[in-house]
Amino acid sequence: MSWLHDWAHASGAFGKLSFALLVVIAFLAVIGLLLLLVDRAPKRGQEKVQALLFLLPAFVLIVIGLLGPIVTTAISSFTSAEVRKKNCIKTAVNSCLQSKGGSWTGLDNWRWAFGNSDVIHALVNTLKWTLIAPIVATVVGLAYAVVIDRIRGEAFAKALVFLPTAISFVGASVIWGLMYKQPSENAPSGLINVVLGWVGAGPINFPTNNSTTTYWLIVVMIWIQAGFATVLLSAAIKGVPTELLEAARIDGANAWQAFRKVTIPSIRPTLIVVLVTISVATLKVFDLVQAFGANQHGGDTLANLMFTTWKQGGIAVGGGGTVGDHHSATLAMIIFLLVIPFVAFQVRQMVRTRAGR
Amino acid sequence: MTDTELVIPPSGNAPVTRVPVRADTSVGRVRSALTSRAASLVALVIGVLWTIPTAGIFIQSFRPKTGQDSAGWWHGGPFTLDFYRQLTTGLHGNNASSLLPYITNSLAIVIPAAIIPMAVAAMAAYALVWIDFKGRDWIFVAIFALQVVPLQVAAVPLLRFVVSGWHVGSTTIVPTLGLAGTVGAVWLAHACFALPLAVFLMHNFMSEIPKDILEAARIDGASHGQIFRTVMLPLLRPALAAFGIFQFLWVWNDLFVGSVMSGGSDTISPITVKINNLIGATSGAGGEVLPAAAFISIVVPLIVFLSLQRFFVRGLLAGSVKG
Repeated sequence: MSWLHDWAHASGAFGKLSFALLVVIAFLAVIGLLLLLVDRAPKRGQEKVQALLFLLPAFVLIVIGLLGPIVTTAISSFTSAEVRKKNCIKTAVNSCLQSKGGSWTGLDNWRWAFGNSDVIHALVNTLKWTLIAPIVATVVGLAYAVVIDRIRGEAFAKALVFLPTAISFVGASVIWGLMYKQPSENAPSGLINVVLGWVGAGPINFPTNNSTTTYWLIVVMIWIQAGFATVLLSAAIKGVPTELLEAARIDGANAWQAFRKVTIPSIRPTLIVVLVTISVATLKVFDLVQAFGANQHGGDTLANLMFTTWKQGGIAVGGGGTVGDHHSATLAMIIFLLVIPFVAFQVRQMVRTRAGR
Repeated sequence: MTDTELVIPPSGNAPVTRVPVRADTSVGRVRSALTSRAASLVALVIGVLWTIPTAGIFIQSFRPKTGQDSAGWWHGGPFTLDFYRQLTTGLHGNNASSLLPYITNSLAIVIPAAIIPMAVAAMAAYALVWIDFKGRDWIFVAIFALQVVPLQVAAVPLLRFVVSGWHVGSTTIVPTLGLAGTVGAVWLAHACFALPLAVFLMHNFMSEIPKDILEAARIDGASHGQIFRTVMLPLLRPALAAFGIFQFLWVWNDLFVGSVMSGGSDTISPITVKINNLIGATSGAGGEVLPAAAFISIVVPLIVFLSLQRFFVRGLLAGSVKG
């Protein structure tokens, strides 16, 4: 099977892409076999066996990718890391381990997290993200959806704002890095500082000012997410019955009143979906912080701190994992706890809608 | 705009009742024209504001270093293709800084990462919607609820699983998968993490299909395997397209999973990881290639997005509004 190994590790473009296709074909072949197996299932109790076979692939992937990891990470946040002997050089016979790690330490890792000023700082920043970005992005998206509703070139106008959705956060970081650029001896300033210069303000060192970094990154997040809000809310607005709006206007309501009393209540479910979705995304915000290097300028977030803590931890000798592994697992669990209320809310909404069908 | 006016032709026998809409009076007409003009203005301002940053990077990417260093991108030319050459086929026979290997990595990741969860989720959703068994609603809700697991919680243990398998004590339950050091680690992670949403989308879509179609096939003696292949898959095409595009954009643009699962290895890093490293590496000098590099990294998703936006929007709407 060494040829397979070589193919999997191919470095050429053709090797890589052909192996990807091979994987897909092999996978679809397995699925096809499984479906044939379903047809051969015993007649008695057939439905149950068939359902089981249909669910099997999803079950396997969910266990290795989601259920297993959540258990591992939870355990990791309550157990100790391995301890290596000091001034010891690792050899084949001497692993240098003082303790293999993995023993229960109760809340020690959690105490570390909540007693560490970097973590608290990242937590506060993450909460700032979650408080500001979803609301502003939704309001901008809603305003835009309203003003472009039924104007000429609506589809084009929508596409303009929706476009950033297709751009990666890393790409957006380069784009906004250029916008935010401060003037220096070998580079002119970015557009924003130029505009600030016209009105006699600035220049501002946007993403490197420790107290404001987070806010300038939130602007980029809003730039990306507003289009998502626009598309969903625009569809919802088109779903508002025109008779209702007309009735309101006949009763003497002006445009603003009709919007407040008729449109907003009608699109409330979509508004909530948009807010919840963007909130969950902001709780896990990583890419922008990473690409802007904002953790060096007071803009760290939980997801980014979790990554850097893990990366700095190095690789464990034994199975216990390094201190970094256990600390980053604890940070991941904090993100998990923060996401729970939002997803619980979504699940409740879904169960309700399904019951209403 | 005139088409918002309510016009009732004063012909016929019926007494003409004019509905007193504001736009009907001349004052009202002026006012509604004004508001619609104001609305268009607001739309224009937001639209322009949202486009400028991307336009800026695009223009900047064609300007030589001297141009970039002396004036902002809005000053325009002269233009050059040198950065694009340097980052693709190579400049002066030197293709060391080519981004094409990373684009290849991204493609090799995104293809299995989109197709595998598609097939898996379609099968699972079929069982949950069309095969009658106890507890299927609970299974569906449980899968949906798994969206609660953040990537931050799942990625590191999954990497450990890929690298060393699964052991309890010293007994090996699942051996090393052999995916370590290949893009397989990355797409496997994406395939797993996408499942809750994928199952949800497919489930939503399948519940809308009329029951008669399936029942007719059952009466004809078709098995579930046959129905899934011959009846369901063709009907599912729009849902598969919607999810496929969604997943394509998500995987292509992801940085977190790529960073963790590639384990820092340059040979399997997707393009986003490379660009992120490039931002760090050029913060002192060499930043003039960044705009072109960024543009190369976003051009594939932009093409996919612009040409298939319809399906993407449909997927978004199905995933959120109906749910």
